[in-house]
Amino acid sequence: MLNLDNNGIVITSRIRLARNLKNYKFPTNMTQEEARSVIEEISNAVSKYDRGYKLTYMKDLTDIKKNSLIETHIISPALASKKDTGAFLLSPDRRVSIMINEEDHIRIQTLGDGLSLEECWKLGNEVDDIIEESVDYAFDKDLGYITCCPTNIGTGMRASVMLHLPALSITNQVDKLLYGVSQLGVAVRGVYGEGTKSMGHLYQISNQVTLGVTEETLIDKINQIVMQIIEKEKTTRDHLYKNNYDELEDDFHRAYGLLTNARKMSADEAMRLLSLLKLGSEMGITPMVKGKNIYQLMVWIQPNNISTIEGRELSVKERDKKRAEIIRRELLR
Amino acid sequence: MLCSECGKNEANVHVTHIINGKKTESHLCEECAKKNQAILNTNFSMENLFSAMLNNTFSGKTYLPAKACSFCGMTYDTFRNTGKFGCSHCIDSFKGRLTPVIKSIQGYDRHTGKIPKRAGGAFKLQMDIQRLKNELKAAIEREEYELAAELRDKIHALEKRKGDA
Repeated sequence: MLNLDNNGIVITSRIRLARNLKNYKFPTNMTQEEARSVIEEISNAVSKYDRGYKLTYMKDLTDIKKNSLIETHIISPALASKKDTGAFLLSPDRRVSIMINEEDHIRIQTLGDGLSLEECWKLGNEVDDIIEESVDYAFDKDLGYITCCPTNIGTGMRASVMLHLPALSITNQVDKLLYGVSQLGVAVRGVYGEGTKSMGHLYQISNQVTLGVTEETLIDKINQIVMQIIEKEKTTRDHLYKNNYDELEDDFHRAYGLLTNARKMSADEAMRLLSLLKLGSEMGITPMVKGKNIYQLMVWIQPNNISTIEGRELSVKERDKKRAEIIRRELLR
Repeated sequence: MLCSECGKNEANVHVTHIINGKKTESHLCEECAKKNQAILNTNFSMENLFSAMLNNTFSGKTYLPAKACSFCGMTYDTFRNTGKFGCSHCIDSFKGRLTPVIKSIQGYDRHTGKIPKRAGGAFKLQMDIQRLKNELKAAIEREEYELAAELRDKIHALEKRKGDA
């Protein structure tokens, strides 16, 4: 029987709230002195309620560490580039990350597993209230929360969902579907890889508009679109299972064979094969990887994460060897 | 195919130029392409599009020179070029010109979402009343009169609070 679990298709959900302080220039425009003062205000506001949050300054991190935090989605590339003025607060469970002096003074980011935008919003909203008790937010009665870029103004909210769409991808339907979806006012991009090119068939869907609509409506809209995409991915998996079982079984086992035997592997190849294996596992065709978190493995084998695990900068060749080693170890454990 | 610029490396960046209907193609290796950044400069980020829109919206129209932002000193021209505000007070300085542009990019020009408790204050009350009024209208359209009566009472209570404040 087909074993299709929604959680296999929706990987994570994320809410990001952009906020600014009234009495400071925006980070693009501020001195180091002002930046320090903003970090202090926000970090004090948070620690009044929860002393568990850990404050980290960008200036104290190596490039590898910063990139590794980007690969695990804890911070954004824009924050990593603020090497003198940026900082972030991370909750002990790593679900809440408060980026300070990125493009805006505050970017509250909450992460959740599966389709959980409501929970993420609830959590982000609470953190937002806590910070607002101690600082003066920039808010306009017509335009809502003021952000550095007018494209974020209003709610300042970006709700995004990460999807794994292997069946739609291998049947060449994904581009058409995602183009259609983008007509509905949502943005679609590949999660790893540059631009819209996706590695490992992972895609991110998020709202484009931030003004004139309530947070709940925005979330509702993303949820509805995601539910439709899930349906399409499921139908395609169903179709493949019925009509192309032999080819799939062969593809999945070949992928397993390569992943468990190769001695060096590029990120590109590894992501493609792991994506197939994840699909095989969710369709019940590769029982040998049942219960393994393949997505987690996809994150670990990103270039800077490998270097972080190893504790030093690795050359491409060393990294490809290390990547193959990590994959073999995890799959054969 | 070898790079048409250096002739040494494999060409993997292919560029087609169409200028005045005349089509030319160049095939470059990554290194030569990097040297020629203009070719690779296909930056379609939201910010770039926004700043392009700002420029288009106002081309051909004459506006009085806007005053620079009193808090951070940013001029409207700088904002138009970068598409980014210098501080939250820029909104007040540029508002008149800003609203149509924001509407054209967001589709709306009025916030209806969360209102901060402290910065919001009386305004939050006003928004709550407006929201209830919208709900009331919808309830009447659906002929749900019991709900409508409930909403009407809530609106009265809030309006009384607004009057007292």
